[in-house]
Amino acid sequence: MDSNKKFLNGTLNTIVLALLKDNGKMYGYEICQKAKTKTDNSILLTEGAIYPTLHRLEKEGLIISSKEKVNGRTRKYYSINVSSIQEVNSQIHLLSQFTGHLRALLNLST
Amino acid sequence: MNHSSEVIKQVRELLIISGVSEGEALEEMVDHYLCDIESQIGQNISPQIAIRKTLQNIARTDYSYQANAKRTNRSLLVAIMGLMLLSFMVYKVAIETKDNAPIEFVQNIPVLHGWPLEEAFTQISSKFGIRQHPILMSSVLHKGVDIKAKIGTSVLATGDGVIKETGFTEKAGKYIIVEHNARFSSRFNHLASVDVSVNDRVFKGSMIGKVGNSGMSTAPHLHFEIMDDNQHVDPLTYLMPNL
Repeated sequence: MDSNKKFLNGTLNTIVLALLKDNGKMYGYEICQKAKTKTDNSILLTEGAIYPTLHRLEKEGLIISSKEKVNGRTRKYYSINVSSIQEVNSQIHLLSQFTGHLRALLNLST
Repeated sequence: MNHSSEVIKQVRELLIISGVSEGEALEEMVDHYLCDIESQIGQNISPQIAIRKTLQNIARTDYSYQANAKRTNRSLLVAIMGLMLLSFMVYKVAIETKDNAPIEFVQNIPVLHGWPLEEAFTQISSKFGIRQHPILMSSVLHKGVDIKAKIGTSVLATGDGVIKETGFTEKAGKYIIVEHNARFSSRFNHLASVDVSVNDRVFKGSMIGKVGNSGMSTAPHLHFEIMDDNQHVDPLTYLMPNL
């Protein structure tokens, strides 16, 4: 789990962007659950990681938020800012390209 | 699902005590933890356990990433946590007794554990949670806390109870298990001596043994566990300072 954390450091932004792009509107807890189920419980995003990331991405204008009342409490939903979709796509593309390079390098050394 | 306003209030207050400043971020965290409680209940965990787990999780989480998070005295936090849990349980008991709930629930209230050693200021050398085992060199769940102490330091019962088991295993060394009530028990490992026998009645602060280095241990220390409903919990969130 500790090594996952190390890898997540540089990639969490992009992972969040990809999840939001795939699923449309999501709230923080939902993003954590999605990451967990999609990776067979290996990637556990903590609240200490996910919320600062969401707030930073919102500040940078890559995502936008909206609020809704659910069960008498306020829920904050996030979605991709359509005017930044090109930037989002390029970040996702760069990371998936990098993952490909990593795979090639790792295979080479075994 | 609608939570009672009492649960929402407790989550919010604990977050504020933990250093989350009031405002939008706080509301977001409150929603996060209520979702967490709901998701556990959805997996057939009883609401009381789900709420307790979530409150413990909040108390353990470091919110210093929050822009204006305040650093809070941890022992104060633990003390407040304990009181909140107790008040919540009492409140539940009050409600359930009204509905003619079984009275045995009263005996299941959390034990406010005292410090397990005669010396109050000791160093925690290893916390509860997944860790690299110092001898086995593999990742395992550390089911308790390790408290550094000299050989011969008195080990104290952390709450009233009955000695359920004593013995020796290669891993735990000399050990004692104290049963506090239907729900809580505690365990002491790596002792130099066991000074009680099975079925002895003990009280909070009773001397039950001496710190040692027996079993799989690299230095003198007390390994202390708390079991809640047969599940290991982080003792540091249950321990109350000896006043």
